[in-house]
Amino acid sequence: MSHAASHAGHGQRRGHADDHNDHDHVIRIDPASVEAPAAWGGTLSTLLIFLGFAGLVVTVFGGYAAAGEHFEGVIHATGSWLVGALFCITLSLGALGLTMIFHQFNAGWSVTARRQLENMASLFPVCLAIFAPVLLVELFITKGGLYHWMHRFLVEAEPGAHVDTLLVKKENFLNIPFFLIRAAAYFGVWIYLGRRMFTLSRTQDSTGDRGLTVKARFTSAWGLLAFALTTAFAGFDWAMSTDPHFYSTMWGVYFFAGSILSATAMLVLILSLLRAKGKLIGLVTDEHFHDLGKLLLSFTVFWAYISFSQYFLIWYSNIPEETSWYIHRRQHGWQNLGFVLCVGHFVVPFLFLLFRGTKKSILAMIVVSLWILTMHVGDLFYIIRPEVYDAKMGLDLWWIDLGGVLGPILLYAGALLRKAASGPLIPLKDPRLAEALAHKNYI
Amino acid sequence: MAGLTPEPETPRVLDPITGDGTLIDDPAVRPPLVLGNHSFHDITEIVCGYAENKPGRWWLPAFGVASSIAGMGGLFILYLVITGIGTWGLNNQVDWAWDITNFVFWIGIGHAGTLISAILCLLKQKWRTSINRAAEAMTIFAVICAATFPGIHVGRQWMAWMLFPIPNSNQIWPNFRSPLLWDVFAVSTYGTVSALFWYMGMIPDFATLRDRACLALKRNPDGPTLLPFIPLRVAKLRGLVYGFLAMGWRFSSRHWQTYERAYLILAGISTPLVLSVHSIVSFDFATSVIPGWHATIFPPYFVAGAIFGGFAMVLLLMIPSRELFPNMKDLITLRHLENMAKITLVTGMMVGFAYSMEFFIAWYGGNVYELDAFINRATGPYWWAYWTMISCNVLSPQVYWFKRMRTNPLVIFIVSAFITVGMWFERFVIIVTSLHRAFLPAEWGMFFPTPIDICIFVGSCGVFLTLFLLFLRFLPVFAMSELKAVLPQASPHYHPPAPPVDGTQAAHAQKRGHGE
Repeated sequence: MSHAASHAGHGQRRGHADDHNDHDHVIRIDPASVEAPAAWGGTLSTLLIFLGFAGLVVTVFGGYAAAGEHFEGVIHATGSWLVGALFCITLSLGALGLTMIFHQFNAGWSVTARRQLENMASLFPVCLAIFAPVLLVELFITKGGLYHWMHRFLVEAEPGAHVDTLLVKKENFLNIPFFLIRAAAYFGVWIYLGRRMFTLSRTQDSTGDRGLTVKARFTSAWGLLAFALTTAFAGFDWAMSTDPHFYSTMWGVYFFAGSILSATAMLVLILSLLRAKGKLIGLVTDEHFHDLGKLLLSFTVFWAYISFSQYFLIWYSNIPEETSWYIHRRQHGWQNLGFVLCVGHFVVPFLFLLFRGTKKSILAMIVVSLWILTMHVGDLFYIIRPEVYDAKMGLDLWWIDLGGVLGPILLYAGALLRKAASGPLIPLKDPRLAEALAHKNYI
Repeated sequence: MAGLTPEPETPRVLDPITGDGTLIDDPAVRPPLVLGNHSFHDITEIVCGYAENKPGRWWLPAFGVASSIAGMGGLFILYLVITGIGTWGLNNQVDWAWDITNFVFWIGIGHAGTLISAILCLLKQKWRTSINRAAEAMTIFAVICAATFPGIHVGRQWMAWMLFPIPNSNQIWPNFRSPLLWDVFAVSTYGTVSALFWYMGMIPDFATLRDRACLALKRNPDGPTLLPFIPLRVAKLRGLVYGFLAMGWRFSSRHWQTYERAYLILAGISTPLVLSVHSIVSFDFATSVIPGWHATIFPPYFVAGAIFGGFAMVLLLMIPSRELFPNMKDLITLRHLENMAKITLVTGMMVGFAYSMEFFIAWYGGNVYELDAFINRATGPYWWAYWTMISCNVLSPQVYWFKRMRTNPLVIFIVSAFITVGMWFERFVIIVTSLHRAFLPAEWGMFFPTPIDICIFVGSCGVFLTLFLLFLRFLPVFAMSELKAVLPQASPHYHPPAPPVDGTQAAHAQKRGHGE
């Protein structure tokens, strides 16, 4: 057996209370197996970050080159960048949620996979850096090009002026100072939780203190509550309010469903790449991939369930305030993207992931996780881009979209690879490591 | 011979913090799922004992009361059929009230059973083995209670067959675009699959009961008869009935392999089913344009609420059973109760999240009617129902943040009772408060239940309890094979403890004995 890890104890502890004197397993792990490939912390991540900046340059240049009388080009570029930024934020959010859920479930099998999630969850400062330009441009240059409610003239009644009654009603919520305070609060909560999960786990690598796992579990309990509220409201603020008339109680859940699905896909992608590079042998086994594939399948179905329910209830009830959002997306070529999402975001990965063979194949998992991540970009694009000025899916300025969407994603990917390379690939002294190593599906 | 013979009795030492050892919080230790050093045979004796031996003296009075209530409910349904649904408190303004409230309430109760048997099975939560059978039984009984209400609501009950898409001689079809028709499909599919799942799981246990009955007959051919002067032996009858239900199960490996495969397939089918049923029930309301009903969050919100209410009902039933049946506390430990309390807390908070999202979006959406519907819920004539719902569903589970509370059976029982009341009121609030105010003030009104309304609902509770008491008395309450699989002896690495010789050796032996 070429397993890099062997352990003296037996994994499945079916326990008795007096077991707890008996925790000092000797688990020998080959250090080379838990080190990221050398290029990840060096050339590869530098290249990705460089390309990300190139995307930023393309977007800024494109925005100014195409800028019209009313900054149409800049708004277009900001909208594209927002899609990329939201992609990064949803990845980190999903990872944070999943880490905390694993702690709450006392999960043992997922221990060897958890470090990659913690890495993603610790990247909220990077997300903030990627997202901040959107806000700055919106506040100082386009002044409400993307978030129309920022226009003062829509809410301030001047004699004879057109006032948007709905926005007047929403002014207590949709106003710039409160919007910024909320954004700061969301990022404050996420950065704190992400750092805490990451630090507790990394500290345990050296100390092996089981109390840290208890602390992580404790933080996750209230953390999930804070996570649910901040995620939902961030979804309202940054995605739903691009059409300030639209509202849907499901929106927070929809935003969360996309987050957790894409984070799982990213986790699977990273683990598959590591496995393909000969890392984590015996630590993340086919059995883990089987279960991760099941998670991916169930989150795919969950996303479809949530987005279908939202669409279906709005379509069936046919209330003009709500249908306008979807009607807009059923014209000007956006219906094609909608169709692609129905098939590509649900049908294809669903059928693909139903089979056990695909879930246990590294190559198949790389393909399907990349596919799902691409579809998640499509989903965010479908939410944000139709709100941008021209409202058409014209291909004339496609290179701005390409740079704007890929730029943030490449920056994030570069930062993520650096993070992964900065420490061991698994929590080395997690108390449930033995259980994860012995994980079997028995079917 | 590990597990076949009882282990030497070791005195149970209660830890001041972890109690019997099941509440241990050390992340390196998995708590035991079955207490009391039982061997495989002990488990068979305990579980079959519930069905074979006479129950405690409480059973017959409890059954008498429950079945009388059920019978009373039946009589009131008869009265309703004879007289018409005008005997309910429905009126022109509120034309849908307790009937649909009870339907949604009972359907929701069933969801915990499917969650435990299907979703927790797929998530490999082994603690489910002690509670899944009872929870599945509860599901079936709840679906039976639920199905009653649309059936009697038809008015002309002899036309109830028209619920199904069978064209009559006039070629009249049901309206396929109506969520009420989808309910018929959803609930009947759900009932069928749940019943199959439940029954299939019981087949090996029926076979055990059959074999034990035959053995008893062989050992004592002159055992007690069913009734005096009728020469039908009880053991013979048991052998025949359980033998019929066991469908020729012979415990061969091939049987077990097929069984495991079928179990997994049914778990896979039930998982989307449990989500779809309450989603479709929520469509009954959410597809409409009535303020307070049309909210896109309804499907997951109803599912979370159903699981929430269902777990409360499981706890309400299992906590007394655990006290009343011998040895049941070894099988359903405090850890099981704690886990269920945690699920209750999580789903309760999901429901609370949905309440607040509805309120926020009602304001944010800027629709005056929507906002008014919600303010009216909290401050209008039904304010008491709304605040009962909030305090029972959102506030009462908050005590579970404290470990001391969520490991105390009495506290869990009381909170579960609150939640059951709260979840009934949730449906009442959604249904009645949205209907009692319409766009025209001339359509405003109030709903007052009549005694018929109340008695039929109480009767349905009686039906539910009667069926559950019969289940406890005559059917295998635990899945024996699954319980045995989570005993320490089932581990391939298990070494039976050596008889204690002196202090050090005994300690060493014990260390080896527990799976290390």
